[in-house]
Amino acid sequence: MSDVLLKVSDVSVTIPTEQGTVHAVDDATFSINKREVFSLIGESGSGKSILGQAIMRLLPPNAMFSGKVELEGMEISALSEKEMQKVRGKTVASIAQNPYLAMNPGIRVGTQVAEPMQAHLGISKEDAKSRTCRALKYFDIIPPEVREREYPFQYSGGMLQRAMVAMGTAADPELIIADEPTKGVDVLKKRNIAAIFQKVASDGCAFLLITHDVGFARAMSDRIAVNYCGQIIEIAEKEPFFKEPLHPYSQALLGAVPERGMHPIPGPSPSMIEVPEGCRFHPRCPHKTDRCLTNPPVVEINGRFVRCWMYA
Amino acid sequence: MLKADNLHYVYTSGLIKIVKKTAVCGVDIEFCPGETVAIVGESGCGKSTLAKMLVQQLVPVSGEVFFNGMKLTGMSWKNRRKFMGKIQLIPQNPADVVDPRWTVERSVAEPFVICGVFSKEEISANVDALFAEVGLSVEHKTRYPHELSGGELQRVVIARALALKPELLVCDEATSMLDVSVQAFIVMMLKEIQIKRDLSLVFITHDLEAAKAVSDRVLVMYAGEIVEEGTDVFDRPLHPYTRALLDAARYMSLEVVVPEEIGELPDGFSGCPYYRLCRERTDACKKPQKLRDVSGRLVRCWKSK
Repeated sequence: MSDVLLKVSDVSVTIPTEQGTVHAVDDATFSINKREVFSLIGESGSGKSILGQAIMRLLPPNAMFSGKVELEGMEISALSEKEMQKVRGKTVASIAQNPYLAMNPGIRVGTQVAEPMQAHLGISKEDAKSRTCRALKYFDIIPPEVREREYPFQYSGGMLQRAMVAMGTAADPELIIADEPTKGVDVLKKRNIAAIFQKVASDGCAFLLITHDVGFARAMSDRIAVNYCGQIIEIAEKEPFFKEPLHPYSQALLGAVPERGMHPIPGPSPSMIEVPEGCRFHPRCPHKTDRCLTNPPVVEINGRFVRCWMYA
Repeated sequence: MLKADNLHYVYTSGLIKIVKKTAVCGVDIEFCPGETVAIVGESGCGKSTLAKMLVQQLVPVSGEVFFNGMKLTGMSWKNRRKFMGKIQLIPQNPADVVDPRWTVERSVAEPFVICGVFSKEEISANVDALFAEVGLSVEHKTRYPHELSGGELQRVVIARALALKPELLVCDEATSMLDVSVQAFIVMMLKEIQIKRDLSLVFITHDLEAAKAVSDRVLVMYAGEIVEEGTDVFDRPLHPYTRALLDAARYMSLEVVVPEEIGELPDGFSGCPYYRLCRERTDACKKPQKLRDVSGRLVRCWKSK
C-alpha cells in the first residue's frame, strides 16, 4: 500500500540532564496513512510532545535522536537543516498549544499567515495576500481584509486559534501535528477546535493529535496510540480500542475518565530517568507476573499492536 | 451552612475611559453541610469570581454572604479572620499559591504558625498527619514546589487547605490542568476526605462529565447568572443554554452551532442574557427572566415547563 504518509521506525530520544538521562521516547514505531487522524494519548510527561518535536526535527539542541522518520518515502530524519526547512510548513506543519505564545505579537496576523505560502510556494506578495484573505475567510475570520492587518492581541483566543490553523494549512500540508490543542479550554471552545480540525481533515489533511484529553481523541481520531513513560504501548483503531482496550494501562486510563467512574490508577507515575525494568507499567499493573520484569514484545492482534506479555 | 444572597460583582478597568464589566449578577446560593455542589459554565461566565466572593477574597459590590448565620460581608477584617479557616479555596494552578522559595512543609505549616496557638511540636505533628492524609510520603516534605509534579503539588495545597479544619472547600478548576488519572485520584481523595471530615465541597469546573460524576447538585452559570439548578440537570436539561452546553460536550453533534464569542448585548438590555444566541428566542425573552421552580428544578427561562 502506498498510502502511508508518515512512517516512524525505532525512534528513540534521550535528553541528558543534570539529574541523569531522560528516556523521553523509546523505540517508537508507527505509521500514519494519508487523510488519517491519528491520536497519541498519554499522561503529561510521558514523552508525547518530544515525539512530535522529533518528527518535526525541532528537538532541544542537547537531545539525542536515533531512528528513522520517513515522510512520503523520504527519510526526513536524515535531511540537513536547510533541506528540512523546505519540508517544515510545506508537507508537515505544526499547530502549537497556546496561540498567544506561538504567534509573534509584533507582526500583523496576515503577514504571519502568509509566511508559509511565500516561503514554500514562491508566490508574489499580492498573491499571498489574496490567498491569506481567502484562508482567513474560510476559517470565519471576517472581514478578512481588515482582520489580516490586525495584531494578535486584537484577536480573541478562539479567533487566534483559527488564524493559527489557517497559518498551518496555508501551504497545503499533508500532515498537521497538533500538540495539546485543547489543554485547559472549556467545552464550547473545545467543540469549536474539533469543528475546525474536522473541517481541515475533510479537505484531505492527515493529523497527528498529541493530547491527554481522551474524550477529544475519541471524537476526532481514526486510530489511537497510547503512550506510557516514553513507550507506545498500544495502537488500535478507535472503535475497538474504546470498546475493549487491551493493555492494562489503557484499561486503567479509560477507567479514570469521569464517564467510566473515575477510578484512579494506583501507584505513582514512574520516573523518566530511572525507568522501571522490563514492562514500564509493571509496578502499577494488576496483572503483573515474573515475565513482566523482562521487556515485553510488541504483539499484533487483529491489526492492533500491544506491548504486553499477556498477549504474547 | 454557607449562604449567599444576591451577590453582584463588577470589574472596572481603564483610567481615562472607565470600562465596567459585570461578572456576577444576582446570585443566590445555599450550601448544606456534607453536600457536593458543582458549578459549571464556560470560561468567563463568572464562576471564579463567585468562588472568590464565597471565600472572601473579593468583596462583593452588593449582596451578602452568611456563614452559619453570621454575616461575613461588612464584618471587620479582624472578626472575619476567625471564619476564614473554615472556608478554603483550592485554586486551579497550585504553583500560584505556594511560595517557590519555601519547602512544601513550611507552606503547609504556615496556617498553624499564623494561628499562633500551636507549639512547634504540635505543628510538626499536625503537618505529618496532613501529609499522610493526602497520601504524600515523608520524603516529600523537604522538597520545593518545583521538585513536585502537578498532582503532588495540588495535594500539598489541599493539605494546607485542610489545616484549619475547614467546613467548606471551594475547588476552583482544581483538576482541569491535570491528567485524567491524576484528576481521578485527586477527586476520589477529596471525596474520601469529605466523608471523613464531613465537609461540604464546591466543584467549579468546565468539565461536565467530572461534574456529573462527583456532585449531588449542579448549578449552571451563564453570563454571571445562575440559569439552572437541580440534582438531575444533566439527565434532563431544561434551559436552552444547558442543552447547548451538553450538546457541545458531545462534540460530534456538529450541526448545533454555539458561537464562542458572547458579544455585548445592547445597553440597557435587561432580558435573558442568552437571548442573542438562543435558538428558541421570542419577544417574551426580552423581559427579565426570573429563576422559576419547575418541579424541583430552578430554571431561568420562562418557557420551561
